[in-house]
Amino acid sequence: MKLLDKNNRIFIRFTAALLLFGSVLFYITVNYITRSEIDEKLEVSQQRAISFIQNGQPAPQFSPIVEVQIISEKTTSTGYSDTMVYDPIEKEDESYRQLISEENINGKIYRITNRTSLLESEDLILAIGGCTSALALLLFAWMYSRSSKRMWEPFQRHLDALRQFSLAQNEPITLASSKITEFEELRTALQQLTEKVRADYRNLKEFTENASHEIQTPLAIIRSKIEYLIENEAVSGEQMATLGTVYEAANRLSRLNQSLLLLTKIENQQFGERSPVSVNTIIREQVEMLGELTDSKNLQLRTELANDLKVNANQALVEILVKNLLENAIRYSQPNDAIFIKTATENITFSNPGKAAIEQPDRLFGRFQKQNNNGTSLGLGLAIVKKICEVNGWQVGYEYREGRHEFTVIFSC
Amino acid sequence: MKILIIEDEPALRETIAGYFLKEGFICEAAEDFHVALEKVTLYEYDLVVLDISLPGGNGLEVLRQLKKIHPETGVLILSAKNSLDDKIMGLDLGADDYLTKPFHLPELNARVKALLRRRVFKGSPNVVFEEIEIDPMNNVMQVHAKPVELTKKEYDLLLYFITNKNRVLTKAAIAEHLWGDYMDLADNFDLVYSHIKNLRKKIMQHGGNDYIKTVYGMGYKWV
Repeated sequence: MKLLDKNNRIFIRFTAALLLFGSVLFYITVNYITRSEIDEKLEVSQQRAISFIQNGQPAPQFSPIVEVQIISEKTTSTGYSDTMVYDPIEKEDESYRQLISEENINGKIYRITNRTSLLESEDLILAIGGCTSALALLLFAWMYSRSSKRMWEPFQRHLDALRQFSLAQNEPITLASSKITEFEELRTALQQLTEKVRADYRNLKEFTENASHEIQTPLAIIRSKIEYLIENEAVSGEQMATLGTVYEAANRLSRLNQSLLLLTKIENQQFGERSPVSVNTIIREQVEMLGELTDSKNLQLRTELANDLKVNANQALVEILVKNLLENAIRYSQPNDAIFIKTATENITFSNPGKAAIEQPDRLFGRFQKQNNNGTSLGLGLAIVKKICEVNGWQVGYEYREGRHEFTVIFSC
Repeated sequence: MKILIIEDEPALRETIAGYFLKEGFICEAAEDFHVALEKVTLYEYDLVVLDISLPGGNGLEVLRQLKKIHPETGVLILSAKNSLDDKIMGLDLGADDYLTKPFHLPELNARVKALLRRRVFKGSPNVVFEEIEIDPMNNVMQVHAKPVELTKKEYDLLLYFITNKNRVLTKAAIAEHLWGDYMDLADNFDLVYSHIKNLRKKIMQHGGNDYIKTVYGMGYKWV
């Protein structure tokens, strides 16, 4: 539910209650005033009728407005009262206000009744009530349309700016100021929050990079000390095997660290110079370098390179992209498989045979994702591919088609 | 052969110096920018191993000064930063080679030897080990003065072994030397083993001895 709707709902309820209470009060007040007016009028008419009779003129008769009767003795049913009188013209009972008094004039007892129709005053009350309600409704509708659009506009703008905000863009959020205190407070709070988040993010990135750098030196020491130690003739076979395990672990850690450092550097856009890079040339170079590796596993590398595909990017990053995708295809191939590399005008596809589609393709490009416990794989290759695509505005996707795993990079340039 | 090792990390400095001492080099070491600058100004070295990130100043400045006074000295840059800028700037300033930390000691040794062959011997004296002779300039190898056909990788492997003779070469160091960035895959495929097998076979077919010894759990050694 929109805040505005909620607000309006409360407003409607409140207004309805107010209108109801107001109209009751209004009715009572107006009724009281008109009644007293009518009573006064009746009193005057009554006096006029009495003086008429006292002056010896014939008693006025104008039913049902003025009725004069001569009665034998006084009754108690006198004074103001409301009554219903049958109107022969309208053929229905109509409400009247009447004043009855009994006067002893010239030895006779006159019972004088004066009446006034209440119909007019009720119409008046209704007319006033109707007008007031209509005005209140109009006012409400105007307020609604005004508040819904103009008042919430800064809020909508803040919301849009927040949706656009991205840490990767490395730019502070820009929020337009507003005259409304609450939105101005919101703006200040949002600016402070995003600044803090950006500073934290920067610190974290710097930390990651520094930590990776700092780890390299101790790793270099560990490795070189082991390499130095194994020269020693006194090291026994068993000790040598243990050292071998330590050495392998240190190597793995070192490669892992270098890959993470690479990821961070790509993320921080530290690969500056872009130039037109021929993807086909890079593929040919990499295929040549890998020829020996694929031969040893009896893999066939088939390339179908369309017209020269050029992308505007950093040469080193395109090399890493091709290398990682190719390495991935080789790693998950069985002996005698055929690996295809195809380029088209705007994309490149690497494919290798596979028995079934990968179960969670969305996790494929995450960090430390491995499809099998393949000894030397770090599980970072595809994450690096994805990161390279992200910083260049390219798309990378996986598909399982006709018994082959297909990885496609679309260069939207 | 006199070399200077400029490296701020004591453990690494000692290990590198120890390694080159065994190779029969005269080793000196400098631990910071000022000592390094002083040494390269005062003395003459055949080769300087230079760490770029030094306390007290930039290693590239040391390189600049060194090249001013002794342009003929070979320089190999070491850096923890896998930075293209440092590499390009270093090579522009006259460094001969560039090695990123962490590195394998045999790799450093092989690079230093190659550098010295190019710089000090101006051209190339052949690398000789008993009946085996290698001409690194022309990528030719002979056993008992008869040429042997080797693939590029086998040739590189042989040269790597001989420049690091009597030293244990781990499989990782060999894989990195031969395949660089693709070492993981090569390691996975046991390519090191198959190359060593082929190299051994070719040398023995031409009447050479088998000098490659397996070091269990670690790698291989040329003895």
